[in-house]
Amino acid sequence: MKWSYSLRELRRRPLRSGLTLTGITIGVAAMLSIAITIETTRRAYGDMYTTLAGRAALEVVAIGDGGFDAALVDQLSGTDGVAVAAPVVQMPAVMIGPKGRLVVMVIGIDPERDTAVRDLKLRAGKALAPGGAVVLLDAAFAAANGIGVGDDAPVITRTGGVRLTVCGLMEPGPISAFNAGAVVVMPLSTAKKRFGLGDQINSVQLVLEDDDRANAIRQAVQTSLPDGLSVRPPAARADLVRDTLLSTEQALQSFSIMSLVAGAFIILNTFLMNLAERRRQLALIRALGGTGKQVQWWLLREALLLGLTGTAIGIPLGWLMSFGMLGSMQTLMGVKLSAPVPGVMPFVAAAILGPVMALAATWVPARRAGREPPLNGLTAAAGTDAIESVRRWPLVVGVICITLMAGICVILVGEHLPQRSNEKILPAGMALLMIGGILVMPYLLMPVLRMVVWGLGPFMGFEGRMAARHLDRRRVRTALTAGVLFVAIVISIGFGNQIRSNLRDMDTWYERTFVGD
Amino acid sequence: MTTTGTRTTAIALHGVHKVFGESSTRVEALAGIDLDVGAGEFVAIMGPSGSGKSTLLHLIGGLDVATSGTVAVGGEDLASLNDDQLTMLRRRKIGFVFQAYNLVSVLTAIENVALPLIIDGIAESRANERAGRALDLVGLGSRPDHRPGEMSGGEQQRIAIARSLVAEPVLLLADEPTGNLDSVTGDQTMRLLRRLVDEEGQTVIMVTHDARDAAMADRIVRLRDGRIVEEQTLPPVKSGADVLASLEGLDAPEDAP
Amino acid sequence: MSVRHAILGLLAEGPLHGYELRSAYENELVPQSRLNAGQVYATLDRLLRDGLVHHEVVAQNDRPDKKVFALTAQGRDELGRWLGHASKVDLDLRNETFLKLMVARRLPEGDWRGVIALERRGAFERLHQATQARARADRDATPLSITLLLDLAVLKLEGLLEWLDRCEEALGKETP
Ligand SMILES: Nc1ncnc2c1ncn2[C@@H]1O[C@H](COP(=O)(O)OP(=O)(O)O)[C@@H](O)[C@H]1O
Ligand SMILES: [Mg+2]
Repeated sequence: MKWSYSLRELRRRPLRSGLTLTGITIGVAAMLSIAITIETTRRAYGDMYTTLAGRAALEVVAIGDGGFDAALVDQLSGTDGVAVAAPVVQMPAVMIGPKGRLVVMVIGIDPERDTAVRDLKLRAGKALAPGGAVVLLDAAFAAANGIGVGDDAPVITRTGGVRLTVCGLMEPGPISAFNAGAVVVMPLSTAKKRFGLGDQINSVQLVLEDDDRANAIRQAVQTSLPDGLSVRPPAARADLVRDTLLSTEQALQSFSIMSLVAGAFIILNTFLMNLAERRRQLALIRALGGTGKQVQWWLLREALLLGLTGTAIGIPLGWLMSFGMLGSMQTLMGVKLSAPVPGVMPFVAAAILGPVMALAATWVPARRAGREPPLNGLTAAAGTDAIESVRRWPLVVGVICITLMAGICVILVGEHLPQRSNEKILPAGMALLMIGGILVMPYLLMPVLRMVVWGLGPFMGFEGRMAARHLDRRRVRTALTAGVLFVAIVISIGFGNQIRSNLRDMDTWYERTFVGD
Repeated sequence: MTTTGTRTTAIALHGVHKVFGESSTRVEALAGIDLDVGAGEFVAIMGPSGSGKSTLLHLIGGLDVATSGTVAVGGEDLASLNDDQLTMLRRRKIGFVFQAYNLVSVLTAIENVALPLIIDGIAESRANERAGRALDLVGLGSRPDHRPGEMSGGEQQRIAIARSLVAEPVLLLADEPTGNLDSVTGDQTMRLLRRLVDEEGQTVIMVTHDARDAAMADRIVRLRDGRIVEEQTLPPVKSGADVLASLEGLDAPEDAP
Repeated sequence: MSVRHAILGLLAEGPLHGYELRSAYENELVPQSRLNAGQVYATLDRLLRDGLVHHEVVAQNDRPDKKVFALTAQGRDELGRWLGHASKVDLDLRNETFLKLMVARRLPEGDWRGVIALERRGAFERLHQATQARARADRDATPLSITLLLDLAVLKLEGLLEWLDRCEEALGKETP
């Protein structure tokens, strides 16, 4: 059989094929753009921490990026192979400048030890003195906000507010590159005292005597660390800040999986519609000596054509969409993000996923169509399809999916797993829930439909009753359509909520700091 | 192949039963059919609606299997074939013509005719060449690129006949081939079938409830309630003038004085 | 069918003598029919008597004189009247098959099914001949007069066969 025959079948129903194509395209584009966005964002954070770490090859941080006791610094300094151990504290803050409130990151460093870690070149003013109530600002950032050397710099954090003086302006460098220059650098002791941090620090950066021995030293340090602390290369710290990223990433990943599932269901839906209309044609192929396998392959080829075309459109579209998405991420996270990073994996995954999704969605019905005895289709009156029988396996599979999801919820709530595995499990769980929901839907939908028909019966008129009967006759498709609608609604509500709650988090934080002032 | 007299047997049915459903919905569509059809014979199957005509045709064509009894096509017992082998039988040995033409609407005339060969994996150029010849045989060689939607019912049925012939089957099975046609195109279709038998030696088994169509065959088999109730072999045809001479009523009547 | 009017019709094309009339009837007007000479002359005599035709004698050298017949004005009128009126439809309702069936159904041992089967066989045999003769007629450029008669034969036989089916159904209900 020729491929052009399949193409002609698809062109015979341009609207339907177009809809299917759109489903696949959106699925692939969403998946790709989200993968790129997540990868780019992570890399941006990684770069940020690497720059911040300067010459430090390792750093010690708390799992979850919380604070820990500064007493550890001395112990680390004494470790074999460690040249310098420099403590750092950091926290988000608001600075009141002449032009209004600025969201900044406060970074407390030990001015003496720190020179071993990074070089802070000054454009104006002088360097930090230990214990002084002074700060360094990024020169460009200060200029943009009308702040100069000697100006007052009121800084408010969650734990308190202080009035400090700008003692110097930095050339672009390791620290100023962090957070797009919105940083306030101050002596560690000042930060601890003025913000009431006690003896807590966020990280200790380790400059080694020999970077080639980093692995060995890392192991040695790790064994000496108390529980809850970890030593790792600075870029890996990006993983830890992900509590800020996590909810957004999860929302995006769930969205990505749901668009794929929705795309698959759209394909399945139109495919079932086609099958019902083409029973006679398929039976004819069998009568003319076509094998069941040939019929199955013929049908799958149409799905594959749509899958390939949808992927071909979806990949460039996803690439374009990633620009917009990164823009939103930048606003949302308050970080400076580079242009999208075109990693190979997301593209490979998207290129495989489109066709695979199309094939996976149509495999079972195509195989069933191939196995149907030719007589059924030939003797059926043209265009009529038998009432679809509702089988038991979708109910079973659906219930299993939902149960699995419930199990995942219990595990997540019980916090039995390290937090970082959440983000992998949650989107998968969402997909499970959705597939389960759609599979179970026919069993819930039909009684509901009947009740609606029963209740509205007198008001529906003939057309209404005919429509209801029609829906009832094509149960699987009705359920699928309802399922796709359901998924679309869940996606919009869920996604919208995630972003809103992220924004609200920031708002409450603003408010609290403001009130604290 | 078995031989009876000088003629080889195209199909042989013995004690064929076909039962649909169980207990309360049980229908015995065929209740013991014995039938032999020789190669090059043209047999018409008649009978009231529901008498089992189509069922019989489906069993002969390997579209369904008998509940009991033997159905042999070209000496091969269909009961001994698995599903794939039945498919191969349909592909190489049987040609089907349906009442509803059953052409593929997105394919042109020649592509429809070539379809059985394409399914058989024959190269497109070779398939088209053979399909072209089959189209010539049904008198539509000049319209290979028309789609079914652009052709009349009679033309579509001729395309369907060309398709049934293209693989040079042992047996051509037609289920009410004129059922959707008007009487003129119906006659043309029947004459085409007759010509295939006379000139190409094609074996044809046709189901019909139209007496005029049945009369074109060499033999009429009448079914009722799944049984053969009557068989009639029709004598060879004389010339047109002889026929007229044998039809009385043409002599001049006596005028009233 | 009326030989009388057929002769008027043939003479309307031009004068003919008796033998020519007969062969024109048998070969052109009603193919494959037989018209005996006596019938031709008896009819011509009646037409002469009624003043619808007239004749003149043409002398021949080596043979007896021959009579050539021609249409009179009155004859032309009569032909027009015949063509302008509907024929009495020949339904052949009370045919022999009908009679056999009526008899068979009344007799206790009457095998009406056998009667129908036999009649049907006969009709099918002739339909078989007629349909194929008709098919050949189209191929062999047969005169129109023949193809039209074959069409009539085919359609009548078809009607007869359908009627036999109805008889079978109706009688089957009467004596199950
Ligand atoms: N797939 C089937 N399932 C159940 N009954 C059937 C099926 N196919 C045919 N029958 C029954 O078998 C009988 C013969 O049918 P069929 O061969 O189609 O008759 P015909 O072609 O002479 O009209 C009918 O009573 C019909 O209802
Ligand atoms: Mg039938």
